[in-house]
Amino acid sequence: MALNSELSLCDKKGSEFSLYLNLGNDCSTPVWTFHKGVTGDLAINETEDEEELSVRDPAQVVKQYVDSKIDVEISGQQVVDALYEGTRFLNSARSGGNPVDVAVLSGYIGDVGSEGWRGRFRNFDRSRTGPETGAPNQTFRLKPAACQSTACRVRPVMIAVAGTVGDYDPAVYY
Amino acid sequence: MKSVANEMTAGERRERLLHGLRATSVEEVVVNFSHLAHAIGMDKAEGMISNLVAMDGLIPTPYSRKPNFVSEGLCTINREEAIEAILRVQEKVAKINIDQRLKK
Repeated sequence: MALNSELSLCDKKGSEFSLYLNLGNDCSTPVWTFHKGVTGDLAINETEDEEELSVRDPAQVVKQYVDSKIDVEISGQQVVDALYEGTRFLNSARSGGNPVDVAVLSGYIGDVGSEGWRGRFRNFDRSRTGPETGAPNQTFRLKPAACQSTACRVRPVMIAVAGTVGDYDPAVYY
Repeated sequence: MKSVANEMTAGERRERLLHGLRATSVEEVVVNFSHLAHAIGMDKAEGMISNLVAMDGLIPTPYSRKPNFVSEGLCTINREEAIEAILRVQEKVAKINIDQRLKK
């Protein structure tokens, strides 16, 4: 994918971060719908463990680290509406339920340049709060689900121009 | 005959798309264009879509550190229109199958 020397995608609102749900939950034939019940901040947390490789070589004066695995977490809040399909879908990824196929992007799904993660996640936080004033809301915290087929595994994705030869790899600059 | 990377037959694709489309009640949804074309045919699919983009991703490969690069075409469609188109194709295929059995 061609990169720009000028800033071209920076004129965006944080609220354009968006969560899409594959409500049929069939990873091989997804049907994406926008989760319009997300409120407050939507965060894509992507961190890695610092795997230090310590050797006794006296010439090594700085700590060195080896490649690690990525810890992905999608967190945010949603409306409390048990009859809304988006709320119900995320709540179904609880203990005893099934992981859900979602895509979280840094923009809308039709916007070229949006990037994020897609795959099946489990929801580990479904805390609800009913404030004295204001609308109630519910937290969600999604983590990649284990034991998934290749089509369902969590992976980085990016929206590109259709019909072009894509070469997206977040680990590659050149 | 299986197609779209030998994943499934067109009949199976129609079933799965129908399942996904019926799982929601929103007016517009985003689907993979090749799946839609596989299910109802290229001509009909082309007439239904808007805002075609690609979703590039890296699919993990078993026993390898190098993932596979996959680019899928995503398009926006009207949900009810797509359900009707799939049902029409299913009906047509069913009629053809019945006719073929009657001829035997």
